[in-house]
Amino acid sequence: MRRDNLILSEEITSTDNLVEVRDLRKDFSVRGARLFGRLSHARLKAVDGLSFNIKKGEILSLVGESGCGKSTLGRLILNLISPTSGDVVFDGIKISALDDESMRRLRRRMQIIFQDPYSSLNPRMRVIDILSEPLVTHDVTHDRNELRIKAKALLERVGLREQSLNRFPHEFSGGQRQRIGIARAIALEPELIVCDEPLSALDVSIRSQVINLLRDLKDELSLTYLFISHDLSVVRYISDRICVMYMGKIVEIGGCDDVFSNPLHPYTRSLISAVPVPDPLLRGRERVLIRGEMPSPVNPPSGCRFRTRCPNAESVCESLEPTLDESLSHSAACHSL
Amino acid sequence: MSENNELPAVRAENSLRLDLVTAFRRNRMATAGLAIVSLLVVGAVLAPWLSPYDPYAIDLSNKTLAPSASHWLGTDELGRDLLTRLIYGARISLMIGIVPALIAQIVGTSVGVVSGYCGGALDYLLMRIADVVLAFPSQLLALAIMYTLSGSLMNLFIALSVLGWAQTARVVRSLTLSLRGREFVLAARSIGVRNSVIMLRHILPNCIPTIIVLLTMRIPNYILQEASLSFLGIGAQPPTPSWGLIATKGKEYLFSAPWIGIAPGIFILVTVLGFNFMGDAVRDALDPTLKD
Repeated sequence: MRRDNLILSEEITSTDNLVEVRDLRKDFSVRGARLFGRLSHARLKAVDGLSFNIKKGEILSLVGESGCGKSTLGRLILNLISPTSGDVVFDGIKISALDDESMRRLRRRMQIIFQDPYSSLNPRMRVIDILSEPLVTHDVTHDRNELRIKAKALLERVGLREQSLNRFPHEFSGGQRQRIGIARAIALEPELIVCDEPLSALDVSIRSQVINLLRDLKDELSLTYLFISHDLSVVRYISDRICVMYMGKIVEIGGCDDVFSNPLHPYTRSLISAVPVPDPLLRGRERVLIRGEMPSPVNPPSGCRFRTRCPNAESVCESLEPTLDESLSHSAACHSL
Repeated sequence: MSENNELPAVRAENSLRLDLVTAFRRNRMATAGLAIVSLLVVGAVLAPWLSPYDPYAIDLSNKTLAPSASHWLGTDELGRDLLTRLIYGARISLMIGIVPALIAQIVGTSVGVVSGYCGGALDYLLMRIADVVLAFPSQLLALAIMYTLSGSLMNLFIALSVLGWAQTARVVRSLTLSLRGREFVLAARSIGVRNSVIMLRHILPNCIPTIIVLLTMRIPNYILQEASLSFLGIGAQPPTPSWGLIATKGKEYLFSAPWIGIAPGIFILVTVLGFNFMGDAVRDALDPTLKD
């Protein structure tokens, strides 16, 4: 890897972090469409001051309901969208400070797998071209025969046949297409893969196959995953650590077992209690229900954002925003702790 | 692992072509349109062998002859065989229909893709220029250009190309905007594919069906424009056998030799209808979303 012209951050504290996210913010401007009126420039804070690390070789899961900023965060980490403020440091390299060409070269080390296997593959490209693209882009090889051999190996790696090479994406089922997406993501042997709800669009019967494939690949290629999901049963199965988001903020972060056995934040508790339990004899647990809908992220509640739906909200929650204790391995942003 | 058993081989590589064939099979009008257009193309290509007459040879002793066995559509005011001139005119009409439409399509597509993909100030600038072009009454702008550049076929190409690119740019830009947000474009970006390559390999191929549809709808439009401009005397210049020009001359003999004016009118009508029928089928096959 050519590092000589990449900017090295001076503030690196530990080397076992692959990604360090520091006070990352992303606002989207929401325009009120009023004809002949003044445009109202509301700001939607999709990601609101997040700081956390992803350690080398771990699977960090990002959970939360729709619209909480999970996918935005994933895209920010890959610099597919640029942050409003804050930094993402990838292996000691501050990515917001990179010029286009350095960023392009760094992309070799980070990839993404998308939720929708139908729109993540270009309908007008054959599988061979889809899999060759990363290799050609990063000048691994331009030789057609070699590209074919490599693409074939990638297909075999994800459990598809060589004959698929000359086909177009619409000739495959959802699960097969997701495998092609995974093959494309591992083509350059990256270090980080952001999995943006890679299972949500798949049938339940195929999910377990894909998730086992992802796990096998992680071990073989010593990958690090940021696994974005709202399916807690999958998250529990695959994660090393879990990060729970609510309205652009982290409400709880900790080891997978810690979070599931001892959820600290009332929001996490309600999420976990909402997971269906297959065994009726084990269903006796208390259900923690939360009321209402998520408030508008354009105009979030004061203090703690969860207070409008929290079963144990107090007056302090209205005035003071709770923070995470980053020195702890398992912590939650809640006043009632 | 049922997932590993691939689907039976559906040969969909030719799906574009296949869509076209079925669309033409289903739509009789389209088949008729295709027949008319094919006939026209054959006529234009084989013109010198189809007719024993020279389209430019003046024979004043035989002027304004009525249709007969030797002159199927009669002769014009200078004694030239009308059918011969109309067959040669098909060459001009086809060329006028296709060349500027292609130029407009290429320019419009480039502007649209760049504008939509890059966005920002460049997008704003290009789209305002397109607005200006679209805001002009097209016939008037063509008139102005032809008056400035003087009437000739080459200048007609220029005038019609200047008119047409803006509409294509608009459509392709909006298409690009929606494609840009699609995940396969995002995936290409996350791989580190260069922007120019993304535009060429990911955006452009997905715009092609729409571009073809716009092209087939533009051709008859341009044939009409050429005919009108030539009719007004600022398109093709005599003795070019342009349909519009022949119709202008025919207007003067409308009562004494009506076939000189009527025959080119019918040729224009049938040609434009043929292209339109064909265009409808192409649109149905390639881009149903463009339907009104």
